[in-house]
Amino acid sequence: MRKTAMDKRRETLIWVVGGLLMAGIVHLVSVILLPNVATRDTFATISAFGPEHQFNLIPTPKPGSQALVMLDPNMRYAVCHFSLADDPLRIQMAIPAPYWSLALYSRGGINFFSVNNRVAERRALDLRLMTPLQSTRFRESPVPDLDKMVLVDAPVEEGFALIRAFVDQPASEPDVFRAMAESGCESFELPEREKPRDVTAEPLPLPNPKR
Amino acid sequence: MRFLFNLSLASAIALVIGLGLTYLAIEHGRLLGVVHSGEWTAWPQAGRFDADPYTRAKLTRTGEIPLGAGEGLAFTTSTDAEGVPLDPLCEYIVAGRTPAARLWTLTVYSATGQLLATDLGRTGFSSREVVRRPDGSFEIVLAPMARPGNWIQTAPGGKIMLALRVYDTPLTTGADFTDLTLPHIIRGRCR
Repeated sequence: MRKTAMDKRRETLIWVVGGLLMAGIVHLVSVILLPNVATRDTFATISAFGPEHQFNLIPTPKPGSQALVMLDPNMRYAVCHFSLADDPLRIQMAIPAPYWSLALYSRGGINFFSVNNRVAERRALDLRLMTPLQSTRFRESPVPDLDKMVLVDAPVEEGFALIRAFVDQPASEPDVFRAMAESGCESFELPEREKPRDVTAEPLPLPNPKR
Repeated sequence: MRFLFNLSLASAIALVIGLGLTYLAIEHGRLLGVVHSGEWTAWPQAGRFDADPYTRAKLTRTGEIPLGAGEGLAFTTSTDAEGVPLDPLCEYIVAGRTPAARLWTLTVYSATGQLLATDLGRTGFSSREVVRRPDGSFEIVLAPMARPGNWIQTAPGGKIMLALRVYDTPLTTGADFTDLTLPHIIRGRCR
């Protein structure tokens, strides 16, 4: 049986609708895949500033010489790329600037934690960055000065920490740079696993915190 | 023959519309993840780990390192208040107020996010150095030639964009975006 012109038009219409549905899928897939084919590799740029596990200064953003796009010329930056594969990370800093902040990113540049000097509520920041596993071990034994620390669970094993510090007058710039370069970004060792307790010394045995 | 025609028609629709939507969403911020207020655009989810895929794609596309939610929020614009693209040969007045914040900075960039090279080297203002009117509002003039008051020199060549960064602001901790106070960019004389 031959198709009428009407049938052919209806058939084409179905193909068009199918094409539109496919367009939606193409759109979603391309948005999700785009980060994988991005031309810029932020982590490679950041790693090039210096060795791992220390804060490396990013040169002051100036016209014609910017290490990264869209840096704020009012801010001074230092970056530390880290790996939590072996040990957790300790970040210590106190910057003599009216505003400073610390932000933690995954390798791909997705932010997972940030704090500024007002929220930190003290002049110095002592931050511990741990994977969930390391965090569990860290909390197994009592930690002195726990209330002075900021504990952060890392959703990634590798990434970078970025300090931003506002410089309102050129004279304070050297002090800010020095404080950023001296900020700590080092691995620290988790405490040894607890030894079996001496029962006679402890009349009330605590429940075993290890689950 | 008919089948091949239909197949190529459907494929063309899928590719053109699908990739076109992606281009609009990422390069022009027309879809999800974006907050528009007047001429300004912000990606508030950029400072969150559970950012939507549009925000993630945009960030990796531009290569910029976003402000975390605990740090602040960046607004950008490449047009004036009337929606006309910013032209470095024109004069502009950035006038008004900013959202509540401990610190803000206004910076002029090229369309690709590079700082503008000018004779004086000033590329922006911060809330610490801007001269305000008695009522607390401010006016910053963007012009190639010197102007009294708050003046940022612009340089001819290429398109420009403005970034207004508000540091330590309640906007990133759940404040309302519907009633934003942002300065407006008013075009003046053009050469």
